[in-house]
Amino acid sequence: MNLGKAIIAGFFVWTLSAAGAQAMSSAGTGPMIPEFKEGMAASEGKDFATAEARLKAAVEKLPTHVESWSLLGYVSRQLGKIDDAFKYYDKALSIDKEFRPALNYLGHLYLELGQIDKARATLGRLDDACFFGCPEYDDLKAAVAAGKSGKY
Amino acid sequence: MIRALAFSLGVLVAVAGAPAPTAAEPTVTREAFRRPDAAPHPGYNPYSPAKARLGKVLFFDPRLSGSNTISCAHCHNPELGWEDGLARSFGEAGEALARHTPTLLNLAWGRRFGWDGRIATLEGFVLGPIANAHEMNQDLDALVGELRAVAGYRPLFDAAFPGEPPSIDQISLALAAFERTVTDGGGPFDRWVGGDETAIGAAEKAGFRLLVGKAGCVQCHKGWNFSDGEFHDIGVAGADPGRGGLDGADPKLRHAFKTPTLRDISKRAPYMHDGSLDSLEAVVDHYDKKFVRRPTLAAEIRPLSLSAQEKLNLIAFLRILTADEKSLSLPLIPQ
Ligand code: HEC
Ligand code: HEC
Repeated sequence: MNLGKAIIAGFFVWTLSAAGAQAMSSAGTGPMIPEFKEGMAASEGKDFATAEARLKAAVEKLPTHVESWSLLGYVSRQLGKIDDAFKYYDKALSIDKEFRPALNYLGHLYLELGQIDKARATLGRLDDACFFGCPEYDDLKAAVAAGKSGKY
Repeated sequence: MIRALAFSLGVLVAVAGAPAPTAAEPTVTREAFRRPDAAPHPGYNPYSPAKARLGKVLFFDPRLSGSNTISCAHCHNPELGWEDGLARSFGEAGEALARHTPTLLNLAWGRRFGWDGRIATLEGFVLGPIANAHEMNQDLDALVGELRAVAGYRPLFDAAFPGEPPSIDQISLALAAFERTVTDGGGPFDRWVGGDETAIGAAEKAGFRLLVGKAGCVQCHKGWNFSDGEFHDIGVAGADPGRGGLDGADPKLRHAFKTPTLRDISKRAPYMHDGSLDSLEAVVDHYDKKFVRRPTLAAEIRPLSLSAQEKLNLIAFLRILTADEKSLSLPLIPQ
């Protein structure tokens, strides 16, 4: 039994799938401002420094743009700025407390920090936010299960 | 204090009467090896003495394993440089783990955890060994129940996390906070860096010059902690893909592992991710010429043609990286 392999499997599946999570949301309703579009393209191309700059420009222009705050959180996390990531998810969720991508990212961030109970609570919020099921819920649910079993 | 710190390698070499470094050799100052004063703690898990104390007790408590027989210290023994002296350790399942137990020294400065760096935070790492069937094989929810039932834990959790019942989250935060206090504390090498010329001997100084010069170790074993925190294939034989085995990894990272610190290295045999080299002599022979040549081998790894005396000097230097004895009081396990 290869311990390394087993350990890697679960963890990286969600790390990578989180990158696509924003795209699969249908919860966003805000306007598609160019700075956000550029930020999203940069994030998808893994150019997180550029993404951070464009998304900061986006929220400066439109401080209620929940998609931008949420993605800015994700991008900050990729840049290793964990405290910033929390701040931006909070901001997104203060604008729309049911914004699914932000809840999904936040749940993953908690897992990454070994905060399994907080991740479960976030999964509960996501469950409420998508009553009839949604990809973000399935994604976070699988990750919470994997985190709980040590298959991180 | 700053006085004697500005020695460049050039100066050191010149003093010893050896040829000046070539252009290809890095100019390394002693200042580049100066220890930071305090370990950093992140904003999402600020340090408190009570939290670190709880983490320390948890670290030594065998209740953290399914059978209540194995604590973290079973594999990460402070007496053995926070390792276990085995090539590969045994957990609850009784079979050898896939990799050698690494040290926990100076992880507060780490950026990625595990030999392959698969986890980005200490808080995220510490629950893994508890829940992993091959290591401690303990259900995390059951563990919280078990610890809540121990009267002696109540004041420890209360002091660390006032007003919240014990939780998995707290176990992770406390263990990580404790691990950030695990540092080597410094020794003769650091006094020499600080300007005390008598702190280390001539052979050790010659070994240092090799490390930063001809032997090129400093290209990866950088700075006061002797690690760049990066991943390299240094030609240790074997099929373990290392960082290259992670999903979506660059194929060039096959066989790449995290550069370990060299602090307290003399206490930490056997060496490498598979524990395959049992002495510092074997390590130096490995770098001198015994490494496996393969396409992913790091460019810095090349035959060194070290003389017998140079090997001895390099080993003498590695041994001087052992910190001064500081006694770690073992905590009482709450009942
Ligand atoms: C059965 C032996 C064993 C036990 C018990 C164990 N570990 Fe480990 N530990 C290992 C091995 C082996 C690795 C390397 C795993 C890898 O990289 O694939 C490791 C790696 C680590 C690392 C990463 C170090 C680095 O340089 O990145 C940390 C942190 C850690 N362990 C903490 C703990 C804590 C906390 C506990 C108790 C909850 C614990 N370990 C219990 C064997 C063990
Ligand atoms: C290309 C980067 C690189 C260079 C150059 C390098 N090392 Fe390493 N060193 C590593 C890595 C990576 C490992 C872990 C490799 C593994 O486990 O497969 C390691 C492991 C070690 C270990 C074992 C540590 C442990 O915890 O088991 C020692 C000792 C060591 N190196 C000493 C040296 C010395 C002495 C030199 C110079 C002769 C040197 N290294 C040059 C990257 C490097």
